[in-house]
Amino acid sequence: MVKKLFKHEIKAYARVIVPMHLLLIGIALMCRFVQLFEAETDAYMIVFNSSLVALCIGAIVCSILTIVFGVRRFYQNMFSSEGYLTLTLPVTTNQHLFVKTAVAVLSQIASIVMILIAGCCASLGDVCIEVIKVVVYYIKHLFAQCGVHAGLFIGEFILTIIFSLVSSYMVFYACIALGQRAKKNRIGVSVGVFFIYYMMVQAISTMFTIVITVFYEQLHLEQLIEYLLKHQIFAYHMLFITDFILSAIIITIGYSITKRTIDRKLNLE
Amino acid sequence: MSELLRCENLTKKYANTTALKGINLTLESGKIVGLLGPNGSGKTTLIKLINGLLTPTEGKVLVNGNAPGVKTKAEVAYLPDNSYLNSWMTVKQIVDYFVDFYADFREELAYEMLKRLGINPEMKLKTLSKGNKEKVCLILVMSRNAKLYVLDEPIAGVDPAARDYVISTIINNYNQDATVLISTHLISDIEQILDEAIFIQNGEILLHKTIDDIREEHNKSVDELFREVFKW
Repeated sequence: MVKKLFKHEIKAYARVIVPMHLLLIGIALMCRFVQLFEAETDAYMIVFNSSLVALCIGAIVCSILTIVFGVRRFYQNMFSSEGYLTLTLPVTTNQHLFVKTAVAVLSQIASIVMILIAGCCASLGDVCIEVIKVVVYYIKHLFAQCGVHAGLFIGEFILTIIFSLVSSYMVFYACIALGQRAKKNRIGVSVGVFFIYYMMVQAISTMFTIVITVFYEQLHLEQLIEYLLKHQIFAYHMLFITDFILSAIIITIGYSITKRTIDRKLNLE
Repeated sequence: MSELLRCENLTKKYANTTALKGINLTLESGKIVGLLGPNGSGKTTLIKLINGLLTPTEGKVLVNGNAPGVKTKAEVAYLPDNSYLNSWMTVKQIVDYFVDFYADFREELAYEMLKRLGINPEMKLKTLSKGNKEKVCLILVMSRNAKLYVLDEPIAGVDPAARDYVISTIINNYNQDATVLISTHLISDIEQILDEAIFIQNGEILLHKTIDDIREEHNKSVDELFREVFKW
């Protein structure tokens, strides 16, 4: 069943995401095409700058629309009239949530990759080669400095991105699910829940910063910082692990709220 | 005939209202049963509970001995009272969707019924008329070889000619060993196909009898009895 869910979910995403990605690549190629007529005239600069602005806007819109589509798809497919079909399929809630989250995250990764490809297309030639050279130089430098840990850092970095994306979608799903428990104006309640969550995260971060600043000496943070500076490789691993743990907590809470709402509090209108 | 659906002390409360009040109900297989009641009587709530779209506040509902879940969803064919299909999909894509998820789906039968209606499978759902969309939904549900068909208001909002089509589609295509539960308040249209009738009001079952018993005991048609019971 999971395979079949994947098949239909990917199809639903592809009809929106693929044309958007093709459009982005089209803008990038247009941008590169403009560069073939390089000249020192004002008219050329206007066209060149406009094409670059269009590419930047395209990349931002592509990234945001992928998130918006993922959230909208979850709401529509689970809690609008489409839910009458989705939730009467012989499929468990776990399978639904797993597939929806996985495809949403894969789409987001696909959008990131397409933005990078669009960047390469727009800078085909010397600029692109220079960028690749810089990236390769830093990776070599990283391996020279950290040895085998460099590979671990790259792996942890990729995992951090994936965990962050999963936790972001879980927050969105949980907010939508909590909104469904309201009797009226469910979308408004979902937005409200997300706003409260966002404010809480901001408040906790601010309080954390204040506590560290005020109790800097009492907490012996100077010694801790000294230790971390001496053991930078360990410090970076700890940073990634802390991020994993925080993301895992958010994913668990978001997943539990969403699953419980679908299993126990569902009330499709 | 074996027991297919059992509701024991089934209660569903929303914040301020009680939609179902301790319903006890048993349906056997091989019957066409009318779930009859005025608007707001609890018909849709009962149907949603059977399909696992709501959780009971108290009591339980069992379909073929199992609580609503993956197993019962594979055995129950449900037609909601609203349009629930993705409008961007073509009819063929919807059929493929049903083929993928329901092992009991009879693909050939679905295409045969679509052909008889003159619906091109390549058409997108959003290009179909409201009536044809409803017919496609019914075709998809009746193309399943399910144990229990639950049809929520299948003839509400369609013209009399279309009602005849809906009723003939139900009679001609349901699995003879299965039970069909039809919720409606348009009783005269479906009375001739019913084996049993359930009258429901304010979340309580007022009557559950065979059509023959109703006619014999009350000397009235189901429609006449309904009008008498639910008189304002």
